[in-house]
Amino acid sequence: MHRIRLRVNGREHELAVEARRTLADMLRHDLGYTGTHLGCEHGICGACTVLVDGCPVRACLMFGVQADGTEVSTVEGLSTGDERSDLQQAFSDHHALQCGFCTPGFLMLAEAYLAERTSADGLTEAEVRELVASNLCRCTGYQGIVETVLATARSRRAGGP
Amino acid sequence: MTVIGTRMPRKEDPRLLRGRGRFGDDFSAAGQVWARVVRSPIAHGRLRRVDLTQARRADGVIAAVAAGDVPAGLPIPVRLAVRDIDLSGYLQPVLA
Repeated sequence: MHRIRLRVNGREHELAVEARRTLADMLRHDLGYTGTHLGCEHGICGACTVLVDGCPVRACLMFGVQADGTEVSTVEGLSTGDERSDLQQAFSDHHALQCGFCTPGFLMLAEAYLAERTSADGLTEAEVRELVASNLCRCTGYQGIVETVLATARSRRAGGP
Repeated sequence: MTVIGTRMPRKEDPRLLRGRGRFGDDFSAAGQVWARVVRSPIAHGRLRRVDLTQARRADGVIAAVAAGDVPAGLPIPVRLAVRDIDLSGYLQPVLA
């Protein structure tokens, strides 16, 4: 067992985990953040995408101990209470979710991407399609997700939330 | 008054967008236990015997189940009829 400390959505956690415990299982079952989902458990589907120190990672391919001393962001941290972030609202407005299983992964991927890319010019649909190819969605056909990311980028660049 | 042709906002989006969906592995029920399906490590072999004695004695094991423990003749049903071809010869036992 290894004693580690990390922050999840700004909240400090200290716990003991086995070396082989994945970050995904640690977040879900040791810390109770079940919003992060497991679709494939081998890094293909992206449903487990979380941010570690701002970078999108496959939580199923990381060990919990590797997150020692880091800031982890999960879907639960995107908003508080009944509020919704602009990105979450945009997902709803553009029909970017149906069953919702892949949604947390896409939200975290989009947040990391928008943080990096919003200030840059010339964000194209082609670039967003390239981005969303990283995660699997069996329900929506990706169109709504692509539109959501484009719309949110536009709105943030125009000085929105 | 009809809703046909109107936009109907979904009710489940707020939960799902916050990661508050309750998919199969997202919740715990009191008294729940875990099951493992044990598969053969050999791709093409001859199964001679299944001995669950040690498994049943192992710490924390509530039950270990093999062919002898399920009702006789319990098949995995074939739902698709294929042109009067009798597929019963292809049915696999539920457990070894």
